[in-house]
Amino acid sequence: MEKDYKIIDYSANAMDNEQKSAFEMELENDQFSQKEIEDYRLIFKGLEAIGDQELREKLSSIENKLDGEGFFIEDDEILNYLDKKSENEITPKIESRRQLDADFDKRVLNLKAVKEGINLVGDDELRQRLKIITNQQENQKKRFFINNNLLKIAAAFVGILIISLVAMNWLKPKENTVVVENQSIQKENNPTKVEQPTETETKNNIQPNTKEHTEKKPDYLALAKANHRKPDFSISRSEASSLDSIYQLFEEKKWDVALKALENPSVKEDWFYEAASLEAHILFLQNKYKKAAQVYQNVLDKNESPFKEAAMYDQLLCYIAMYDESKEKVNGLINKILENKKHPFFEQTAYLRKQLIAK
Amino acid sequence: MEIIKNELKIIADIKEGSNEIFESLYKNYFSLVEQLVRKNQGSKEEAKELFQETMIVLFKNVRDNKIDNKAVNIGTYIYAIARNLWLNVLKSKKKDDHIQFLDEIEVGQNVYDEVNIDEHLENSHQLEKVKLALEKIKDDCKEIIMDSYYKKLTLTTIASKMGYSEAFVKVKKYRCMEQLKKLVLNT
Repeated sequence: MEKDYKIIDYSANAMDNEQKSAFEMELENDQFSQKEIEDYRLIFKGLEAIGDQELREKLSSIENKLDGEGFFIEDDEILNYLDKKSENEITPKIESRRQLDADFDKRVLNLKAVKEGINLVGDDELRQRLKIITNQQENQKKRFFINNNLLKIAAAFVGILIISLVAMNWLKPKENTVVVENQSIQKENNPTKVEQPTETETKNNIQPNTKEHTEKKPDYLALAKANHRKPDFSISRSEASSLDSIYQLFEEKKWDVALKALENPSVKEDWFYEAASLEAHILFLQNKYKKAAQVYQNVLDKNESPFKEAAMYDQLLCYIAMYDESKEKVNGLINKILENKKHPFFEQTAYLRKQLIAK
Repeated sequence: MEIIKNELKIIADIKEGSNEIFESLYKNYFSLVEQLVRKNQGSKEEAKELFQETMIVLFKNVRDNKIDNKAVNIGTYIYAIARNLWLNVLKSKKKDDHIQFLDEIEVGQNVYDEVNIDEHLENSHQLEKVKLALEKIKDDCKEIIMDSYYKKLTLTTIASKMGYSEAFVKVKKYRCMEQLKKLVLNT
């Protein structure tokens, strides 16, 4: 009996080295035991395969259980569920898992946000196409109008030119100079008087005051625009799927759609700072500086580094863009940033101040 | 997400092969294997198959003490097994040794090398014979045989699990094996 047990242990590799060597010596001339070992080894191989098979079955049943709980649900299936196109068996799985698993519920909500973005893109594209068609029709009408009237206008212009030349020949040059000088003196003596545009200026719709205003404003605007930057998500996280999709919309210049998608509460909740900086950036690009500044203010109100520092600088650029009405705010923000030498935008702000002083 | 137990406890649980531990491994590491497969020309279904095979290899390596309990990170180890298995699948698909592998996580080359992947039984005829014989013996005999020779549990563990004395389990184990051998040879 003892030997039989040894044969089993030897075949199962269940002996230590010492026992093994001793038993191998016993086996040397024992043909019967060697045959027994061969038989047992085949059985052990069979047992190993049966064990594997049983384990595989166990794993399959776990997989089925998890599948029933919606563990393996794919994004496509969730999108179909959101479209109400999913098969009957998937809907309850998704719904039950949403109740049990907060992360999964968040995933569904994020996909919903993205999907709504996609749907809006669809509508938006349609609108764009209609706009293009309408514009084409309008352009055709315009072209027709221009072609018809171009000759008439050209003829009238030539006529006016000839009459002007003839008239100029009749006028004395000295008298002309006096008129101009008198006008200049009148301007200096009475600066508050509203300047009347000349006949030529009226014809060309040129208003000197407005001209000065629009020439000055773009300087600040250009300064603000030149220093404005894309939102930097690397300071927090970059693998946000819903936010990435919205960012993609932004990159494709579908700004209104991106803004709409950013309104989604789950996006705002999960990615407050990133969503806010993207929203403000888009508003800035749409020349809605006041609104953009307000969004940055929301970030500043949270008072969390490093987002607040970035928001402060970006808000400053918004106010520079509307400098005429926000001088005080510009100065206040510049002083605030420059108070702190470690502010990440210290150098950029110092540069902006220098530029503003130069203007 | 469910908090994974510490590595040593996980390894001890894997050795016992409970449903709970495998479910927990699925929940924590399936996505890692899925990403590995998807990034390397595979589908979700293939990821499921690979995960099963990975679990079998993991179980056997734990059972045969081929895993360093103190040094191993279970996630990295699972990844390394899956990677080796998937590399074999890709090689057999392409018949080309040079496969550029896109890794999901960084693991040292030595981890890949240490991971042991046993060969599966090729002789299905022999498997069928043993399977039939095993069905004919009593349930407690089958349990002792599988616990002793597949799970390689100690006599003490089996005895406490079945409510027998160690000495009884030892004798019963040999008797059951002899009975199984007779049935296999007569099948």
